[in-house]
Amino acid sequence: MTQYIIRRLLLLIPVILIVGVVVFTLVHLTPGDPAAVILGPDATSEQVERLRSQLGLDRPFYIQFVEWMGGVARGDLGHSLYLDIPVTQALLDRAQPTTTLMLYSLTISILIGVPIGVLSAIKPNSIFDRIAMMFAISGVAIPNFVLGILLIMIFAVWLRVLPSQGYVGLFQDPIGHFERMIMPAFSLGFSSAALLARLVRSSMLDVMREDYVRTALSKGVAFRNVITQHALRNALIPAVTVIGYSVGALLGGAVVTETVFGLPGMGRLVVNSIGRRDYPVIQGAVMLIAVFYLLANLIVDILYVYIDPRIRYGDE
Amino acid sequence: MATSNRERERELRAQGDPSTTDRPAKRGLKRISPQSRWYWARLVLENPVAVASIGFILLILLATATMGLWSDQDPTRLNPADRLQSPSGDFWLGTDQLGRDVLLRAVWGVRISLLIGFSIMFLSGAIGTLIGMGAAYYQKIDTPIMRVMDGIMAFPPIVLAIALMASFGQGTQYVIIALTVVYIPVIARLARGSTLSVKNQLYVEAARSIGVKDFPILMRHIFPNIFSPLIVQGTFIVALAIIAEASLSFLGAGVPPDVPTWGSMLQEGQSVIRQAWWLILTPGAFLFVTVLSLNLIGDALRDALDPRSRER
Repeated sequence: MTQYIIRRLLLLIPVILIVGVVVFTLVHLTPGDPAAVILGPDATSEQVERLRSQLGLDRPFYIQFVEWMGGVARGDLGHSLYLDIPVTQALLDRAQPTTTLMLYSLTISILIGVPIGVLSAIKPNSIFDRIAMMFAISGVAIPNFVLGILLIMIFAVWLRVLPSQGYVGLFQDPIGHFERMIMPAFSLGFSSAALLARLVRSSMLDVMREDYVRTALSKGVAFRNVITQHALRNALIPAVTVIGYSVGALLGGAVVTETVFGLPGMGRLVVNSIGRRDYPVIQGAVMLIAVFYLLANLIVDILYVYIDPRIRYGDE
Repeated sequence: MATSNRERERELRAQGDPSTTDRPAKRGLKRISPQSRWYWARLVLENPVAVASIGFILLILLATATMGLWSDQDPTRLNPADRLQSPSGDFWLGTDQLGRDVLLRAVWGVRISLLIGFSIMFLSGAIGTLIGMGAAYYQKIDTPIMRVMDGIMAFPPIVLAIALMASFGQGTQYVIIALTVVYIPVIARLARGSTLSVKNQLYVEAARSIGVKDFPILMRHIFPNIFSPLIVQGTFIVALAIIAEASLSFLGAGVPPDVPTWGSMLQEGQSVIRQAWWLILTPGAFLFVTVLSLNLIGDALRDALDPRSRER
């Protein structure tokens, strides 16, 4: 197992290099001279030159790339042009709202998605199943920011029970924290919950047709135990893949959700940096998000082994 | 001929063939037998949800194509005197903070959304299919190409699109390019997997042995046999691309602000959320029902093209 993890980590290196090339090339995709574009039409040619050398644009492409990747490997993502602080610092300052938002929405999507999928599969085509699947199909179709705005309209504007904007740390004010996080987490996690409910339902239906489920039922194991011990455990295997995929969707969705709810997270920083043409911040944040996503997928692959003993990686 | 088909279908049904047991044939459509290559179209057209969804997409296309006929107004014309009017006889779905008709702007938004959605489907579909088929057919280029695809897929789609838009600047064509790049690997992986499972089939072997060149083999013998999963995925990509475009425009990193799109309407709507609910509900409903319809069409296509998924 350790060997497998090490091999997977080594295999990540070429992918991270390709990710690095993509992220690094981004700034060079700008039509015209990036330095001139960043500074705007009023800049003098000396200012442009200074920024060019600050960004390293005056050196050959491959040297720039090697230097930049070297910095990334050491945790140095460059210096923000607008905030005038190291990019790593800027990202760390804003990591907390983003990670809590991700955690809450992942939790919400699992807590809603898995039970609904299981209950639907126990009585397929029942009224509950039909209503649940209608919600699931709608949940996948409603973009998270639209759901977010709708929630604001209902709970903040009409009912006035929740604040619509802002962020408070968990330890500063726990109640205020959850009041402000419930809507963002729900609007972000809802589509993943819907996807998960559909998937758990269909894989539960597959598993319940298996011989071992019939065997367990016929030898008198309680229905509840068959569901939880025999069926659910096997039905969850494909669900774990979707949860891994959801992390990517949640990371992307967090960028938009943070903008809707005015959360001072990394996604909001990226969006603000577009207008400020703060390329080092955009590059750093995108790189960090991609690496995080790759690691999340790796963790999912490792989780497989624990859920499904039939899967054995490597050379045992 | 029709009689023999009917007999054959009855025979299949007696044998418990899943493609015939779950749906009784309807009058008028029953001439197409399960053996026909158009059988999937019959299955889609017998599915009321799919027909309603196709109907909705055609309806909004018709509405936006004939806009000049049923309204003499310009969706971009500013009219401050009528700002933030609630829905009424004059403005069926109200006006926005610059006095522009919300219904007209939402109907205009159909053009941008569907144009972008379908362009991205065709572009990423064509490029991704070529890449995937090439990688599967020529072993030597497989690993390098698929590693690059893995690299692109390592980004959450919307994040890569935002990063690309930050470099390109605003513009409809840039949204199409950015999202095409994002969805190429999805198609490429699918096309590669299907090609791998088809390329060692006997009929490909046969074509090769009588001297058919690689490109005609790929196009005439492999492509038709991997088309079904691609068209299903393509439908979902239209839906995903429409959501992604709306998200980009909502963030101000998509289509230029002077073009009415659902995403930018929602962004403008959020700033006056306390006064004007119609500014949120109108573009939100258009976006939701369009994406829902496309997803339902995709589900119906998948069920029709892949008999295994029908059992669920």
